[in-house]
Amino acid sequence: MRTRLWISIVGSLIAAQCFGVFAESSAQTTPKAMASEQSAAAPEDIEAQVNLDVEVFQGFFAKRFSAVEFADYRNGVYALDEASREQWLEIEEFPPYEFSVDDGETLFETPFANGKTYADCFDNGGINIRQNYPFFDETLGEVITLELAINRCRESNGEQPLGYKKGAIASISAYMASTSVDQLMHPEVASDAAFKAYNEGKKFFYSKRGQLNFSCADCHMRVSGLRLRAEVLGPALGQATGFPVYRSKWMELGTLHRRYAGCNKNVRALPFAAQSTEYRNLEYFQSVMSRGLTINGPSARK
Amino acid sequence: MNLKKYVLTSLCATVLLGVLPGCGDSATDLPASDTASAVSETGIENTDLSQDKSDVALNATEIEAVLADAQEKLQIGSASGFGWTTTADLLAQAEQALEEGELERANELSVELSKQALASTQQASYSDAQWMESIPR
Ligand code: HEC
Repeated sequence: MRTRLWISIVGSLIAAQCFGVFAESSAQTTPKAMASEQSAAAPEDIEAQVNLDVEVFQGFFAKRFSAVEFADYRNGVYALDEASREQWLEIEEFPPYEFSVDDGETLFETPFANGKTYADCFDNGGINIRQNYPFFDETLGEVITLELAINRCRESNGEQPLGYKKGAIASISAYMASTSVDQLMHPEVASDAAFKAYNEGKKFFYSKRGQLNFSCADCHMRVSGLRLRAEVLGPALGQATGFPVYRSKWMELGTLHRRYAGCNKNVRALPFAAQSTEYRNLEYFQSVMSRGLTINGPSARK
Repeated sequence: MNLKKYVLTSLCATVLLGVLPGCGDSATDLPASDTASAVSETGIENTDLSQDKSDVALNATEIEAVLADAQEKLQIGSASGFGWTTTADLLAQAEQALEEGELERANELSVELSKQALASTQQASYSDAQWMESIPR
């Protein structure tokens, strides 16, 4: 009788203490994380917050995979997985995307009905500029990705927009990326509006979704480098640098947003449309996190 | 910190780490069962069709009401960007079963749909308030 009483007292104390511990730990972490959500910050505060995010994010991987060189993160999962890296290097010797890049070049150079070309829409005639995307357009107040810019170029020249996930748009984007290999990604977050878009992408990245209740970070950070069924989970760092990719599974090129939709569906979450505001903000956040890496699209993936 | 508090804290930590797989060290492999522990972090139950045979007398009007309620919740979930790919099929199957007068099946499906609809709204509000909990530290 007495023992039971004793047990129940200790039990309730443990429970109380546990809740206390939980409350303490969440009270410690929340305000700091929330700071990034506040709006109307001074530009130098925004820069400081974004720099801190980048430092923490890249620091996470530096610690988790101390043997991996920073520059190698542009190679996705092959930066981590020795076994599949060998196969991949062989594939990259005769890249399966080569024909698509050629197609892309032809499409890129073919004039629209009005006689103009893609080159007329882009800085430097569209060559060696992939690294400048995505960026936050301060006038339009939204994130502009390369694929969006390609379609807006078409529309402003009286052409129909292309589908966003594969086909012609992936080829054109692949060609444009191929002229920008080894260029540094350096997306800026320079205004309140840009910071808001960035934060929305950040929130998307860390939000749990779908029936399986996983966030991007759960797979591509917390368990990165480990195996999920047959696949090793690649690092979130560098995810935007190699696109578009030729996936053996697709047997064709696909865009980053096609992959986003696939990852959403894998956890049984309804995907968003390619080039939706949600996915563009996500791409923006991911690109900022990959600051300092270089472009190496298009690339081959399993 | 006094000794008692210290002992209780460590006792508590041990109990917690033992009880909650995946809470102590998140860097574990990811078999299907990990899904359940990830799901339990938000308090969202993983649903299982076979678990929930309810004893309610089956009546088409009631099932319709359950379905209507579920649809409302589904809309909240997907309007906030947290729709699931599993629900459209469930809804279609439930409606078909109802139409064919298979009340037991219609009931099971609509109960499952309700659970998922509720869980997706819970996930939406959890994510809205606590997404930063997924930032690895
Ligand atoms: C259930 C685990 C899981 C979740 C959650 C998940 N992914 Fe993935 N993702 C994978 C797997 C597995 C692959 C293939 C291996 C790899 O490249 O990482 C992959 C591949 C990718 C790739 C291709 C990388 C490349 O180099 O080709 C991108 C980009 C990506 N995921 C982004 C995301 C984003 C953004 C989210 C959140 C919306 C997300 N993933 C959520 C499992 C997941």
